[in-house]
Amino acid sequence: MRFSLKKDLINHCNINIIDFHNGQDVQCIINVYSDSNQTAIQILHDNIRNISNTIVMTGDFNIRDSDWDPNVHYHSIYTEDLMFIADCLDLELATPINLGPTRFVDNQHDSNSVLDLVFMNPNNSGFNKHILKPEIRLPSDHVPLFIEVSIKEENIDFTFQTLKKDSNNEKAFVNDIIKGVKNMDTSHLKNQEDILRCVIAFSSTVKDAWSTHSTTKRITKHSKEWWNEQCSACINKYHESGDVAN
Amino acid sequence: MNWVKKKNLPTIEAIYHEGQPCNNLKALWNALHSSYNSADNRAISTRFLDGINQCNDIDWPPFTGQEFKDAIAKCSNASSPGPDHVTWRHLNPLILDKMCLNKVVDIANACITVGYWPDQFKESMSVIIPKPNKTSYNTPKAFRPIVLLNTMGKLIEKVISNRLQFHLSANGFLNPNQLGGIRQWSTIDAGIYLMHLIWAGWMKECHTSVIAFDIAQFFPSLNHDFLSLCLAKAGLNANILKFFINYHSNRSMTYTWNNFTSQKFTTSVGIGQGSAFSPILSAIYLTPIIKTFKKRIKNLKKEIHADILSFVDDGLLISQEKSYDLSSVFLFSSYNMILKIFTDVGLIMEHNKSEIFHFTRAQNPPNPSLDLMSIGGPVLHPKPIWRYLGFFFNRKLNFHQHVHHYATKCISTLNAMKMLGNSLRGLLPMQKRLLYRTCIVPIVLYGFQLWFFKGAPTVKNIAELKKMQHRAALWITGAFRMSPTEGIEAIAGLMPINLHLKKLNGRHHLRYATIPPSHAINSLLDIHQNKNQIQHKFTLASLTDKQKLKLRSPIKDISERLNKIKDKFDPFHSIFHPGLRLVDHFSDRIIFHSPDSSENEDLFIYSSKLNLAFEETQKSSKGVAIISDGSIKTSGSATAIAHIWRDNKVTN
Repeated sequence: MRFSLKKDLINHCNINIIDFHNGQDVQCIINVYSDSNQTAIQILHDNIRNISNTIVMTGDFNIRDSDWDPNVHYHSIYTEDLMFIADCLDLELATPINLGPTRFVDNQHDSNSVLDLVFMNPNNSGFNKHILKPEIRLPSDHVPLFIEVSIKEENIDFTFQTLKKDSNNEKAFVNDIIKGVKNMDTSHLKNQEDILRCVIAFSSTVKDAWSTHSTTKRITKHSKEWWNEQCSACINKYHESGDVAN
Repeated sequence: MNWVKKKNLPTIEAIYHEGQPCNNLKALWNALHSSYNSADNRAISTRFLDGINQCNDIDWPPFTGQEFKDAIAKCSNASSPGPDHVTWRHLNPLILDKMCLNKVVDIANACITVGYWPDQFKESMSVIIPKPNKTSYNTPKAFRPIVLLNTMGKLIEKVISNRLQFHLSANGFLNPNQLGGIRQWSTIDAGIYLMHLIWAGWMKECHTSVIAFDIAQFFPSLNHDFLSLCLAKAGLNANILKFFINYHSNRSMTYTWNNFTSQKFTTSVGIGQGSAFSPILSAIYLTPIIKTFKKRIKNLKKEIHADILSFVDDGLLISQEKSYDLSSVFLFSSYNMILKIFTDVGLIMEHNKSEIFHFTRAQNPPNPSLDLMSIGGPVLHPKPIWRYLGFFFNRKLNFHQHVHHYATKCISTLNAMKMLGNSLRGLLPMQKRLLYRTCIVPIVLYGFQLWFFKGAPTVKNIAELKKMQHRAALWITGAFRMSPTEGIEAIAGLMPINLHLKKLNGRHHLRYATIPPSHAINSLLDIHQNKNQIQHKFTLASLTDKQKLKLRSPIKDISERLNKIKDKFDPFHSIFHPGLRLVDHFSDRIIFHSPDSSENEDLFIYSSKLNLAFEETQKSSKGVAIISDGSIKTSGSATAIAHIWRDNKVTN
């Protein structure tokens, strides 16, 4: 899985769109900080058509509304825009397991409020299951939210079939192909079907040989293609003796 | 630092197609397919093909095993495998096995006689590779699709393309003015050709103006119908034509981006870059275009003096006149003409990549622009430096910028190589020297033939190269910075750069003794002159003796050197005809013995092996041993000798 920051969709410091592939699809996560003028909401509203396949949109929206904050008794004018954006992305507002304020104030005049919201698809198994953890907010005035998102149940295959250079498997692979080619009958190739038959025989030989002799390997960061047994022996020798000559 | 990291494609930028970013894979595949297959349904006109002469029919004997052995010997073991995972490494033992080889030869022969190319060999995967040094990678044009095919099919393709290379040069189908994609023709040849024209033009007080043009998406937009007609003109027989028509039909393409693979797209135009046919087929495609251009220029009522040079998709129009106005007119009309021909065959010229350049020796010369507005192009303004085929030309042809560019590049490579070791640890001086000579010298000396010849101003260029070699010698030996260049060069075992250039230049001149008679360089030389070929305005022979004496050009040096060579070479002699060579017929009866290395131990083993082999041949009455040797005397003349031994006696 490779994550990338999609600056080409929306290039604004308050909106991060991060996308990733899971084998087939591209999905994205949207992170928003909407300032007091609600510029982020406006930008999202204008560019919503470019974005698709969002699994979660979250962030500090700076909107107080009775829909999610029981201490407030009015509707914000921006709520409608926000709901429109969520609708376009096929998302709905999720409620946390432990309800509570997400922003704590440091003075006595104001009351704590709910500003950090999570929008998810209701079909997602993580919907309505995010947790507020006010105990670990440390000096920050915002509460961390914990979301577990299930990305489409699919196995991302990061293994691949390989044949190591100069290994016994490779020798056997080549021998199998040679054997297969020797068994082919190429004496009377008169028309297209004859040629096709021969070539199919060859390709099936190769396919069989490949499936029997190739080994499965995981792709890691540390794959060294040029490293072989001789190198390992050499480095061991060097580690033991510490002599530059080795 | 990661040495073997896979090159990942850019992730931040999305590819834009028709103004829309491609945010999902489906849109990406569509964008890629529509831009690499954009020439689909492009109308073409084939009427001008009637004016092209039909070439002699090509003799096509059955394939022999030796051709396959020769073809696979040139293949790199490191090249990527096709969809069936078989690499050249795996195929090599198969070809060495005689029984298997015969079966492969049978299949190849059957493909030609039946005129059929099986779908298994057409199965291909297109890998998208970014073109280097682009500022932005947000269009599909910044990437190059490379086709990976199954190796077995590719081997047969290689053998066929090898034959095409030989025959089309031999029967004169290919035009001398196209220099790309054909064996024995290189960028250096194109450079030398241009250099000679400019210098010879100066002798006759003409300045040289050129327009370089570029064809957009060249390989993916070649039209198959037009190609088939070209192949028929080239003298291929009906079976092979049928084979090529079948080869191009029912093609499908799968694109691969990082680890993602698209569904199959059907393609109806283009030649995959990566197939062994792509160089020769592209050359065949261009031949009628260039021939028609030359013919139309000749048939015009008003005479236009313009020359054309083409290197795959990079073309060059050359005009040599005394006045700038005249050459501008000539260039404009020839540009217009070539534009029309390209549009007829379904190729699109990229006007914004066209460049104009004037070569002159005058003080404060004018530098006029060329207005292409009337034919849909921009106004071309000449730049101070012109880059063509990797050479950096300036107006006075002193190549300071060229040498400076390559020397700087190599100095930065050397700086990076410092991490491989210092005088305490890491690579040994011997290895460093090897690295320098293999990885740096060939790069820094690219195109030196263009500026290193008798009478050329080379002092500044050589000084620049000397500086570079001094740095290298310091790195190899680990000497102090102020050490004298000559001394550390001697210790590092490097030849002084000017002597090295002299040596390489001498060898390069000898190469021209073996080029085919239809080669562009041959049309400029006064000896080896092909009578049928149209004489160029500025050949050596066309100059007066006084002008010849004053002329400074690489061609003059080559001509002087070739005059001393008495041997004649004919690369198209019938004994070199692929499929009819001696080794093709009697490959199992001829065994070559040559030493692996020149070390004493190896030589000893080698000589004992030779003795054994020799005795064996002399025992049987049918065996013959041929022993050959060659040497160069200190006086400079080379000699070679061969003996034929039979029954312990020298028979010849």
